[in-house]
Amino acid sequence: MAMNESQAPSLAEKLQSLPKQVIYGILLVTCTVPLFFSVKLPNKPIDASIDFYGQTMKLPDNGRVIICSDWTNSTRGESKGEMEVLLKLLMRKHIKFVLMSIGDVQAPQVAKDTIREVNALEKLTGGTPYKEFEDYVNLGYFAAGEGTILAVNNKILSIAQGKKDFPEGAGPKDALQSPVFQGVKSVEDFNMFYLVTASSTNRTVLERITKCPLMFMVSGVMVPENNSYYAAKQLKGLCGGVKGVYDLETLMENGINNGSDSVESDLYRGEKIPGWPGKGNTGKGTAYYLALHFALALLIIAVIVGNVGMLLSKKGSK
Amino acid sequence: MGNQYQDTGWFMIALTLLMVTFILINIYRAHGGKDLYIRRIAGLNAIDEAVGRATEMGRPVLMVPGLTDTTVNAKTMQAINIFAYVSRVAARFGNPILVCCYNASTYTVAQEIIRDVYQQEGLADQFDVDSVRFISDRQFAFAAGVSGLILREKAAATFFMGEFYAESLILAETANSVGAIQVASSTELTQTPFFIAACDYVLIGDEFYAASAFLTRQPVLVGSLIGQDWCKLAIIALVVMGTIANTIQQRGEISKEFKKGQMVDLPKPRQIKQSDTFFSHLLKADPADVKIEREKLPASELPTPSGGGSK
Amino acid sequence: MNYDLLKQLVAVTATLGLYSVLYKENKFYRFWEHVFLGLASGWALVALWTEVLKSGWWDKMLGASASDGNTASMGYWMYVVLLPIGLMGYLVFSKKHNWISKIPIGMILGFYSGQQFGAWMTYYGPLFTASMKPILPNQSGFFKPADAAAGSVYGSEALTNIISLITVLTVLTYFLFSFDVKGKLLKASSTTGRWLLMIGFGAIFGSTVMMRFTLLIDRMYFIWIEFIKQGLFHMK
Repeated sequence: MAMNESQAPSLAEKLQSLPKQVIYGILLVTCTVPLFFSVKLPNKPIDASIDFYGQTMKLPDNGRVIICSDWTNSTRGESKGEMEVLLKLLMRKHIKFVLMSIGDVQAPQVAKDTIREVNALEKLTGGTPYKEFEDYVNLGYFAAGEGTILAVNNKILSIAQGKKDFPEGAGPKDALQSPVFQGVKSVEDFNMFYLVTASSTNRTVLERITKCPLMFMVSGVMVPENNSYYAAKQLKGLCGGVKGVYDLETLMENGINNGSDSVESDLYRGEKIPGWPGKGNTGKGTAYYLALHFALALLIIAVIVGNVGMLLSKKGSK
Repeated sequence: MGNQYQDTGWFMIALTLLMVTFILINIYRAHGGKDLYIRRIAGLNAIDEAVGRATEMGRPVLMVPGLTDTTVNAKTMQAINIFAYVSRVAARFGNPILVCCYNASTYTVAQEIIRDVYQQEGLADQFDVDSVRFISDRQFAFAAGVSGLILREKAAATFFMGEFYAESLILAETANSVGAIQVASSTELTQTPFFIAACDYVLIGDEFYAASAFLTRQPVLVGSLIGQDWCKLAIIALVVMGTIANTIQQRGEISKEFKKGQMVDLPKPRQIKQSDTFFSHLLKADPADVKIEREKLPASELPTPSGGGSK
Repeated sequence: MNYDLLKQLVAVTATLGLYSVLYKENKFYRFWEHVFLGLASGWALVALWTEVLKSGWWDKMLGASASDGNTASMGYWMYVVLLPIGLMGYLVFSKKHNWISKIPIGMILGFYSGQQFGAWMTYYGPLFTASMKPILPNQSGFFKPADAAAGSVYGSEALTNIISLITVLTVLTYFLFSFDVKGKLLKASSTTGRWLLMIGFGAIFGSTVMMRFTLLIDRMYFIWIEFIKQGLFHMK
């Protein structure tokens, strides 16, 4: 740059070299302040989320599904909200589930903690809490993910054999004795295979489960990849990141094709899918969505400031 | 029980066998001593440059063969193959190395291969067993551990190759902050943008496998790479044929449809959907379906089209 | 102070400790880095026995009894064979016999490769089909009306399909390595492929930045709302 070194830094230089501590500080404030305000932003759920909700609502009441929970606190910001909304949906439809994990040894514990929290929330709004072993059975963690998922597809009872469930206040129980497994012969006896993940276990499941429909709940970073699977109809529905969670919370509140406030969708033309208005549907999605918008606005401003700085310095050097 | 092929149809099995044949033929050709051509990708120069720079500075070269979730797989092996080359160059110049492993199996294999490299170079006594380390098999504990190592050891060159996830930017940013020259490659598509943003050179997608084949010239790797090229050409041909066929076929109507293994008459002819096409049947692509269907509402209860609509 | 609040306080301190590296590398960060590593290793060690070896191997080998004393599941004594195979891995520490450690690794690689045949077909079959979309409209009009019949292709959709097809083909040609990219068509295709890849990477970058923000927002929510507002001040 053609500048006199003894001169004070120009505006262009200042704009391009904001101290990173200042930027981090502004970011922290931007991400924190909106959390204290409960503002419900307008939302237009995307097809993938609408299908996730619609297909889950189409499952028979008192049905049976598998949840493969592969997230840990590393991605709590997105995955916990997803898990919460999935549990709320299943609990309200009284659908029993098998809980398992191939992603991380901490995952089953984190999932159990979330079930406990959702149980408490559902109790507040008149729902029935889920009992471990009776309403869901926890198979825990499986180290060899690929082999385990292949076994789920081909011979599901073999993976549960010898596995113990540890319901609170009772001794270990043989997982296969759980009512969830009653009458199960193969994976086809389950209505859906849900995967909540923030890692590459999505490929493991997608490549190996052929006898049961699939739906994924993935972190934001995985959305572009998993959108291809949804578009190729490998997934019946997809919930991606905090937008997916907010979509599902909106759908739970309003339903699909269900009246004036409802989400209208051609995907379910001729069908009326209800929601649960006012029944504690807000969760992590609603709580974080406003703050996320402020953070994204900050990012856009930062990009503009940086580029203006660059343009100014280019002009100055001419 | 145990029949994982039943849903894919004969064509996909034939296609898979064809791909396998392509790869085997080329491995055979490579074994036969034929000097098969592989295009030199630009990223390879960056590898040499990075090691050279570390030697000049006398600071370590740090390598991470990815965060494979379960056991050693092909991606980890390819990364370790590239690291064997990096270690060979580093060993010749007496440059310290650090290989950070995410799981026990990777650690075992990496240590074996790197030790072999030093032995082949006649420098077995210079091999430091602590240069290959197991850090942690918890993702962010691993990221924190490797970041700490980068900062403390002031790595001059870093190589992140293999499976990387959310920790990719943490690692690349940390290495960037100590001024390390970085060459990276993630087999995870989602992380490649971060490496592109933060590293000096990135091997995108299959370039990672090409680099490994080019550097080692192992017949199996070279043959596989060229076999895969043949496979890609076959897929291009298949997609082009399928697109042309579907474009023509979907211009018509059908009066019969294929349901549960047999042709069924339709009440009235309808537009051909993609799932009715020849290629769709050939690839048997329909995944498992939800069994239970919700009852359709009578027309009087349907929402009116004028009711706005988000779609 | 109740136990839950104490637990949260430790978590908040750890969060602040790890975030302190944003200012600069310091002892507080290093302390929590080591606590994190230690906890993770400790947890993994316990889980190795409880979640992997005991439930996946030991209990299956011995079988299980129901509460009434009858057999709930049969034991598979053949599982005992897995022990020496697993132990072979430890021979990596023996200078003389470390070749034996390659046997279990070979088995793992073999099992994995075998599975990939089936996995490949299940994964790519639907993706191939989805790539073969009609590139010419079969209906007049550019935009798809709300009541369009299934299988009808309008102008806008055909255009989308053309872009999708071009992307698939050009990106595939970018990854051809066995011949030099010299021909005009191949060069143009490969360059287009690279540009389209970069556009794709931009989209991924955007969605990932959004995710990272969410993770930060979640930590802030934990500190300010869950710990301070709800935990310390008992506010709703």
